[in-house]
Amino acid sequence: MSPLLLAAVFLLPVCASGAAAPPAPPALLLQEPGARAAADAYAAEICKQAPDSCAEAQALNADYKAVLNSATECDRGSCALAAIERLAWTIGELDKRDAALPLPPNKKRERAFLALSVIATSRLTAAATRLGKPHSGSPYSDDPRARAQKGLAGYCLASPPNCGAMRSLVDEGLSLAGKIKACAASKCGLEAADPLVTAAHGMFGRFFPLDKLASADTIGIFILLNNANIQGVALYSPLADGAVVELAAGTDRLKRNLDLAQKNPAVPLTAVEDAGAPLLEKHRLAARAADRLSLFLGYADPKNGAEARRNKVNAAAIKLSGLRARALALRTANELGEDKAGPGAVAAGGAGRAPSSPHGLTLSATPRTLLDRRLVPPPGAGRPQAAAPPILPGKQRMAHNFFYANSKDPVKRADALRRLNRTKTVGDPGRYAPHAFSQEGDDSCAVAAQVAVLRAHGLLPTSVDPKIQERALVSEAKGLGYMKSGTAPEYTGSLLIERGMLVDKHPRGKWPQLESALRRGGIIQASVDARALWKVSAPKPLPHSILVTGTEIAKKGGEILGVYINDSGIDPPGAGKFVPLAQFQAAWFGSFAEIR
Amino acid sequence: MRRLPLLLLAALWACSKPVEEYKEERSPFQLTAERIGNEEPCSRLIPGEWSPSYPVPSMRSGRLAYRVFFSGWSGRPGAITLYDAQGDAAFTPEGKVLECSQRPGDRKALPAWTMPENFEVRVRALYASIEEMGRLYARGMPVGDGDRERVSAFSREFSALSAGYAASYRSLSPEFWAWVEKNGGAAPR
Repeated sequence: MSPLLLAAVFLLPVCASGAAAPPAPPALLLQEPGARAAADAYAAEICKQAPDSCAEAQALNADYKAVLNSATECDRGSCALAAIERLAWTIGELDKRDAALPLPPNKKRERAFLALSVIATSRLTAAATRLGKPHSGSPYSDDPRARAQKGLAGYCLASPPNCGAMRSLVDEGLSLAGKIKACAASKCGLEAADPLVTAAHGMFGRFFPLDKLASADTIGIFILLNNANIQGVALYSPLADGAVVELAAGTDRLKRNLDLAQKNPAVPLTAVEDAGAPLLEKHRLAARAADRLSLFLGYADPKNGAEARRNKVNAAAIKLSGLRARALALRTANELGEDKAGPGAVAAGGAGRAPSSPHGLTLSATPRTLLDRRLVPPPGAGRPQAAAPPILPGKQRMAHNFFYANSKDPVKRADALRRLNRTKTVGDPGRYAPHAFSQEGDDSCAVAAQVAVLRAHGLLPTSVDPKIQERALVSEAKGLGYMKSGTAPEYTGSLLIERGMLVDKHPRGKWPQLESALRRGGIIQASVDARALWKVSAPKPLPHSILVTGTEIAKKGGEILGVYINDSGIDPPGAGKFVPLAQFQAAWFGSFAEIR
Repeated sequence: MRRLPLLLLAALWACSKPVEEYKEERSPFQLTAERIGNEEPCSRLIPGEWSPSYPVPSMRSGRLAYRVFFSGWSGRPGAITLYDAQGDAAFTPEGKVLECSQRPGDRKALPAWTMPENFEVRVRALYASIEEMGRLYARGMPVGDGDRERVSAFSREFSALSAGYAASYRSLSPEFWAWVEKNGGAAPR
């Protein structure tokens, strides 16, 4: 366990016991008769269904009532601090006994004795607060299960309508803690640990909104969920680090094999290809783990290694994409040598197998391999680029172009310079433009951008309506935890990685990084403020995700004139739409992912 | 041939290349506040499609901080729907997030709102005023007549630019708005 996690484990109970217990709401104190009656019914139920536990249930019922009576006396002002502390300790012991008592077999309900415990605790806390020592009235139990159950009982008394939701959260927390422990004991892999750690983290997202709805001491529930989360991360982190190391080692091995194949034509390229497919799978696992841990642990603290892990995965993706370009060039050269194929004949398929979607979305018939770039080979190594979409429509006279080459209007200027053949287009906007479509969902722009990439790469069939694919991928992204009501920057491009693509992610990118990517013609999924992109007014930024498919660069001086984008947020969609650089810079919202 | 001189002139004109570099007009404070959702822990809790409101000064442990709420949006150009507050954050003037959370419940659409003239320019000025008000507020001393006028002008402008979010802004930092009201201004309406 890392020092950070250890510190968190030890600090939490301290923080928890240090937190002031909220004063009991009056409504809770009025519930005593009901709580006593429920406890009697609960004891009777146990006696009826589990005779072995009957004596203990009756004893607990009596002991809780006795301690409640004493706490009520204390609340009336008749106790010294020592007596309050003794009673608080007794309550803690009773809570432990209650946690050990099996629930009646046919009952799925809260432990009814705990309501008495909550009311008694609130009275003790009130009494201790009057004596200036509010924490003396809070029983401390070192059993997280018992504390969580009591927290639940208190919550249910304070907010009956939300009791069911909180109870299911506690039940899930208890079950998840067990599963994580079992996974660790069986030395499970990253794939098995991933859903557990994601679920453990996701429970916080549900806990805090529920917690806000009622004034109750839910610290026990928080500790239960937090412990599950800490155990999950402790299980997951070394597995993630292992995957990153394996990815780096595998990439180095691949490079050596490729070097060998390049030097010695007798070495078959299929050996390189065979090594490539498992590497893409390793990249998928390592990238996913890096995203998760960047989100779960945060990136700001260098000690947790989240940013370093992210950088290593990025480096491996870049290296792999470089090796792929070399391998493609080598294969083309070999095929030319054997006079088997013309230039650009890049065959799909091979010995490797791409990871299939766990959600059953139809992938293309031919599995992806490392050498498989399908529609988008690097310029020069495969098929030629498709013509870039026009910046402005129609034909123009030469004089017009000369005149506007110096225009203050950046679109007219870029258009004129391009017509004068004084620019070059990098990337492949012409290839991607036909795959633009208007997104269906309110918050699915990031998914729609990825659908367009997958269609352009032949990894989703173009015969199916892209909106249907968008729907399916939204559902997949939600299932994998990549999306809730929108996509976190960490998960940009994650659906592409799931399908064996290489993505270099920059959730907190800097402009020079993005500029480099634009200059090399990278296909980029970028977050932008739609206000600047669409030139619309709105009283707040409108964060949006688009696909940058190419860049127009002046041949002389290398000035970037603008970018071509696919924008799913407008109808008809922006398909290869030209956006001047200044406008794009104003719109860029600080994160991007380069698809390699 | 008659067009040749014209073409040559145009070619000459085209050779002098103007450089139109992007100039960031937003202040560092505005950029920090607008991208606070990218900072952790907000980046872990707030969807990328939600954006923060204007920051409102708020004291935390005796130090100046700012509070924002997050809200989502949907639609296409010309038909954009904004939703009411769905999350909250507090951050220091240096951009360090102190807390971040999502609010429970479903999102609610805001009524349509007419953008005032020169909106973006005025918003840039408003961010400068927010910083200034933050400093005044954090000083914790009575403000002079000149400052009272500035507080009053700030609150009028804030109200004018707050779209349909007035209630959310009021609840974001009631103690700050109480200070504004005490010093000649008014909470957003």
